[in-house]
Order: sequence, then C-alpha cells, then structure tokens
Amino acid sequence: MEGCRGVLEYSPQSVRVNASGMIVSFSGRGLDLRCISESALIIAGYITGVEFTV
Amino acid sequence: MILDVIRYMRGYVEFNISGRFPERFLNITSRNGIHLWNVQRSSDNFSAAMLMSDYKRIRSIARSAAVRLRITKKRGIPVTAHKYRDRVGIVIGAFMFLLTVFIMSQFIWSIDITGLDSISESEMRSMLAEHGMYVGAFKPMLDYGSVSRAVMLDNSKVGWMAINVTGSYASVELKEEYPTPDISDMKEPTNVKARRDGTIIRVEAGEGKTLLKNGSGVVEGQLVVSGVMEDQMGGVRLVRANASIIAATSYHTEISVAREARVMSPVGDPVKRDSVSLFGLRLPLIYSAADSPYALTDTYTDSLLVLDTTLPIYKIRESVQGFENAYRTLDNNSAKELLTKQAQLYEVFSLSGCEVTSRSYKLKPSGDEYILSADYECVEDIAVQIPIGVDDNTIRLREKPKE
Repeated sequence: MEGCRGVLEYSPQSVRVNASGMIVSFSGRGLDLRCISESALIIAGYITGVEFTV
Repeated sequence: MILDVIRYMRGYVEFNISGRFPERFLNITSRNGIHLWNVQRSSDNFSAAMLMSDYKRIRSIARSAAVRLRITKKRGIPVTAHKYRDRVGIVIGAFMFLLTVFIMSQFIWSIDITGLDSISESEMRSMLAEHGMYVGAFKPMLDYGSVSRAVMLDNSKVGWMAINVTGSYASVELKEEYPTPDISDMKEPTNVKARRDGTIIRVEAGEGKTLLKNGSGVVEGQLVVSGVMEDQMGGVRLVRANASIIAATSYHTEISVAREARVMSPVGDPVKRDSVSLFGLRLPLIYSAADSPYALTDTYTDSLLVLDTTLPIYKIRESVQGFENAYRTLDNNSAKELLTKQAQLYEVFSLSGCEVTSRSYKLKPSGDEYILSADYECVEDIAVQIPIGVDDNTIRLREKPKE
C-alpha cells in the first residue's frame, strides 16, 4: 500500500493505516507488516476485508 | 532473494519492541527513512528487523515512543567478521581461497575435441598447442578465433572449427573437409591401357572393346580396352572404357648394406619413470635416468575423466631406453637376415597392390657391402584409364605440322 502516513493500530487480526484523508482498515488472520518504509507498507497474511473510513 | 543477500551483506538485527506505543515507534522510524521488515505481533510484544547500521540511530526514537528494544538475533557478514576478528588465519585463508579460485579460473584446464575422423586427437592437440591452446594456457592471452583460423590454415583437412570456452573448460568442435570428386571426369571417354609390362591373365571389361586375348604379353602404355566403339553401320561412338586387366608382372629390386657400420645399440633394460601432472605442474613419482647420452623415450599419458570431462590431472609413464654407439661387422648370415627384413618391408609398402605369387632373394658381397637382389612374381590389376585424345601419341599427332 503506497501513500500511507503511519500505522495507527496493528494486531494479527487487523491493521489500521492512516492514508492522507482516510483510514484504511485491513482485517484478516495472521497479518504481518512485511516491510515498512516512509510512504509504503506491505501487509502479508490472509486478508478477509478492507474498509475505508473518510 | 536479492534483497535478502543485500541485507545479509550489510548485517541486520532482529529485535523485540515492548512498551506503550509500539505503532508510534514504527511510524517515527519509517518517517526517519529507516526500513523495517518482518513486523509481527505476538501477545503484547512486537518483533521486527532492520539493518544494523540503522539500529544504532533508533535509540532516541525508542525513548520518545516510550518503548524498550531488545535484540534477539544478529546476522550478516559484519557479525561474522566481528566474531572472527581475532582469528586472522581464517580471514587470510578465505582470502587466499578466493584468490586461488580467481587465479585458477584464468587458465584452460580441460580441452575436449569432437568431430575428428581422419585426424588423430594427439595431432590436433599438438596443432592447438602450437597456437597457444593447451592445458594450462592463460585465457586472457588467447584469441579463440585466431587459433581456430590458424589451425584451419595449417591443416587443409580441417574444414570448419570452433572453440567454445566455458569457465576453464574448452570444447573444440571441428568438421573435416573431404575433397569432392571431379564429376566431369566421369563422363569423359577413355581407353584402358596397361600401366606396366606383363602377361594378361584375364580382362574384366565393363565397358569398351577388348583388344587383347588372355595370355597375351602387354607393354606399358599399350591399349588393351578401347573406348572407340563401332556399330554395324560403321558409325563410331566414344565410351568411357572401364576394365580390370589382371596380369602377371615381375619386380626386381636391389638392397644394399655396408659390411661395417656404426649403429646405435640399446644398452640395458628400459628405465621406467612415473610422474603426475597437476594443473600443468609435473611432479615426479619415480625419478631415474638412463645411463647413456643417447636415449629414446616412449611416453604414455592417462588422463582423469569425470562425467565426460577431462580433468587437468594426468598420470605420465615414460619408458627410457638408452643407446650407445657401436661398430657392427656383418657376416653373410646376419647380412641376409637384415636385408631380407628390408626386402619384406619393401614388399609390404611398395607392392601393397599386388598379390605376390613367388619371391626369390640372392645375396652377393660386393666390395665393402652386401647386395640383396630380390625378384618378385606378382598378379595385379595393371589397368589405367586414359582420356581419349590427350595421350602422348594424339598430342604428337596434333602438334605435327600440316604438309
């Protein structure tokens, strides 16, 4: 995921990411943050849902 | 994969993050341009990995995010180098190993040749060696195209050659050239003549008109089967006469040998010498020398073959026979024995196309030498095809001025 501004919450079941103007929530099982850089994020695991909150 | 290699070369740490705001810690590190990977959460703890050089910069970030860091694992070349920093021998050994591999890879260690038919492998290897392509040759000094061109120029039998080098292994592929028969000759009308004096036993004519009967004597150059065919109407047709003229022929030769001569005579038993060649370096296993200023050496080389690849390891066995100068005086018996052997060689090489039906040898001393007169009675094919109109007689007639 590109353009992220920070990880708000991280657990193996959910990841919430600040993405300039909205919050993107990933839900699933065994979620890992494979790599974190300044503006990009790689989430690995079994993703069951993605939710956008404006 | 590449990323993993880079990380390993630069060194990285795996660590645990515990505290109140681990997510904040992640965000601040990423904002500072520090890459994190393998971020995982187990119960209250986070674990992550980062480059060793970055880890030294994040202590202040950890304090501001109110988290505690604890290294669980260190990996990479800097860690290994630090671990063995006092063991200089290992470092030097590793360096020497890499240097040896690098230097050894600059040489040709194995040459395989494919496509040989009439040219022997040893002949081709010696030709390649003359132009710098041999086991142990320095690769950067070799121009494979020039070598193959030079070999093709030197040996007309080589029609095409390519040298492919993979690492230290050279594969030489070649195709031999065969002379193409002159097809136009096959249509030219010919006579069949005798190439030698003799008595005709039989004439096996395929095409043409036989002019002589069995039992007739024939001299060299005499027409036996004519290629000029006449039909019943008196017309003339030229054909390519083809025949075998089986005739009884005789040969005479004289071979001489000096009564007294200086010869090289073998001294003692041959001396064996074994050695091993490793990467072009020859190491003697048994060193011995023939006790003579003159010696003849027979060399046998066994190469080590693994998975159809010749390794640069050879076992070399030499048999050295010493010789000395000796004066030899021949008597009748020994002269006859020696000259008879030479006559037998003459028979094998000079009368190879004949069936020798009888032979007689006569030895006579003449001054300071012995002379062996050898007479042979043979049966052979004396036919030779001569194109009609271009033999000596026809040319002579053509050149005769008109009156």
